[in-house]
Amino acid sequence: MRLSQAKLCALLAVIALLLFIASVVIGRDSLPLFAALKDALSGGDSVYAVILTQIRLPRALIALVAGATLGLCGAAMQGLLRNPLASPGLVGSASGAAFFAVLVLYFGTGLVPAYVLPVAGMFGALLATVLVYVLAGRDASVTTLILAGVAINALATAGMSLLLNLAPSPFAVRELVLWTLGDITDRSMNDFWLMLPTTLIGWAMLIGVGGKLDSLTLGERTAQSMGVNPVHLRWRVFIAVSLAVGAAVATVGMIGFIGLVVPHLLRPYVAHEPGRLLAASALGGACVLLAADIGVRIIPTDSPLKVGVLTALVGAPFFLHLIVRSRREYL
Amino acid sequence: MSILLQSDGVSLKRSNRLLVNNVSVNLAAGELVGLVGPNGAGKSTLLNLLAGLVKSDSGTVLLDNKNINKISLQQKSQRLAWVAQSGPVNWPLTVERIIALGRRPHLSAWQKLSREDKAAIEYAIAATDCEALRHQDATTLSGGERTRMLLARAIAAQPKVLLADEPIAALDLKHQLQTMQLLRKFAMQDKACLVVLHDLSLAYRYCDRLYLMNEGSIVAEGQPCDVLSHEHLQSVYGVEVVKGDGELPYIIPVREL
Repeated sequence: MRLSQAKLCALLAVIALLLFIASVVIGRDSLPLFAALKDALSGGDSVYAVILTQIRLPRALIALVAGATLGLCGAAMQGLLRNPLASPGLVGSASGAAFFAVLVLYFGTGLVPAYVLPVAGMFGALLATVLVYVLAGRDASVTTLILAGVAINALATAGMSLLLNLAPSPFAVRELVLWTLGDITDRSMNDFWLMLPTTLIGWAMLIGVGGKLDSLTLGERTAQSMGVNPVHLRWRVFIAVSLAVGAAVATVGMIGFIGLVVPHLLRPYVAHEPGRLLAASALGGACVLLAADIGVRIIPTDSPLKVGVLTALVGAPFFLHLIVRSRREYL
Repeated sequence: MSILLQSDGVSLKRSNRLLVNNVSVNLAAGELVGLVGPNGAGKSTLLNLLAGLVKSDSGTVLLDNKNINKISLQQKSQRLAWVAQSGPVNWPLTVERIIALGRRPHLSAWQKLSREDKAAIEYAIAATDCEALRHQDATTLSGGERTRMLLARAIAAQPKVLLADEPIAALDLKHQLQTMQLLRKFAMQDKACLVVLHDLSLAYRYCDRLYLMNEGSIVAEGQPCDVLSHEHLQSVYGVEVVKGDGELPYIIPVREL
């Protein structure tokens, strides 16, 4: 199927908007949207208005923004590394964010204000990025960068394992583990406003890299001869992904497979062009996370299903299917 | 004749091996110049240095009389195009889209292809005989087809200077002739082309001038008939050749020395 870039993005944006509205309406109690909206806008504090502004709206906004970040950053990393198996987690910032968030949960639950958790997560993401920079050096090749990211990932995972190991009670372990699963419940507008600045900086840094990623299709040397500075591009994408993904992970925990599967899924619809994939993949990521977050609300389970578990459950087999299909195509 | 690109005593050392040793070459407008020499002579490395893709340890490269490392990447990419020996194609884009990437140096991030851009792309597609490949997936091309596509990408950029690394090595006979004629025609538009070649007969026949390179140094330069002498070929390639210097020059290797 061939769609123009504008049509594809418009289609995805409409789907994202519908899912956003659905995310606001659907829940344990379904919300009469217009009544709630009217009441909320006129400054009322009816139950509906409170549910809308303090529960559903932040949840839908965070799903929208975090999903877009994961889709966008997945596409950017795959374009930069020229590898369909790359994911935003490769730069180490996601596990850095997770480690620091778990650290706060371990030492400070109940003692510190709620905003400390996401702030610590974002700090962890930045620290991981700085460490990668120090480890890899300024002129690092892509391989060195990935290796440095893998090393940071291993270190952060080891740190999280240590905290789990030393956790004083089974309840603490449960809380730590559940947080890392990825979840958007019980988030407030404050969480949303906290994640927004670094997210927007990350997104803004990716504006205009599309053409450069297109040139990179022909290899780094040829791209360089076509006016792309590969070292600049590498760091630009790397830092942008660190900032945006760090903010997302710090707010919603580890949500896997969106950054991997969404770009992969949309690639054929943008004629495999890495530049055009960026915007489409951002919208696609938002759709998938919104849908998954609606899914965990309507799938009946005894204890609440975490959205990260659902994306992994759906994403992994789907990814396998893609691999098998592409193998068949190339044979 | 104005000199478009020149190197002044450039050297490059990597892990204690002198890959390029004090090389001075120049390219004037209107010239098709061949760079020949045995494997490992440093031809590709010299091309990288001349394209400003690698910084030399000593010596300078001048593009339009300006130090190539001091020109912005975009300005450089508008004036000089470089075609790799066997460049990768990482995503299954269509051949047409790959060739269109040649216009990127002339476009800002959001600019769409103008009518002139499209004309340059069409010319490049026709000149390299890529019309039939146009809608094909670029990752499924044969080696020779891919070389033609990558050359088309460079031609579409409409550079003043073209540096091509063995553009005819993987081509069939017809496309070898076609490509050499294309490079000639390119040079005749007041532009300059430096091409690495292994086919000495075609180098002799099509190039205005030749540089013969061995072990990192230029050992001979000038008219093809002088550079491709029996003595040079024997000392550099270590082979005895049969040679014809007539209208259709040929060089056939006979035996190792």
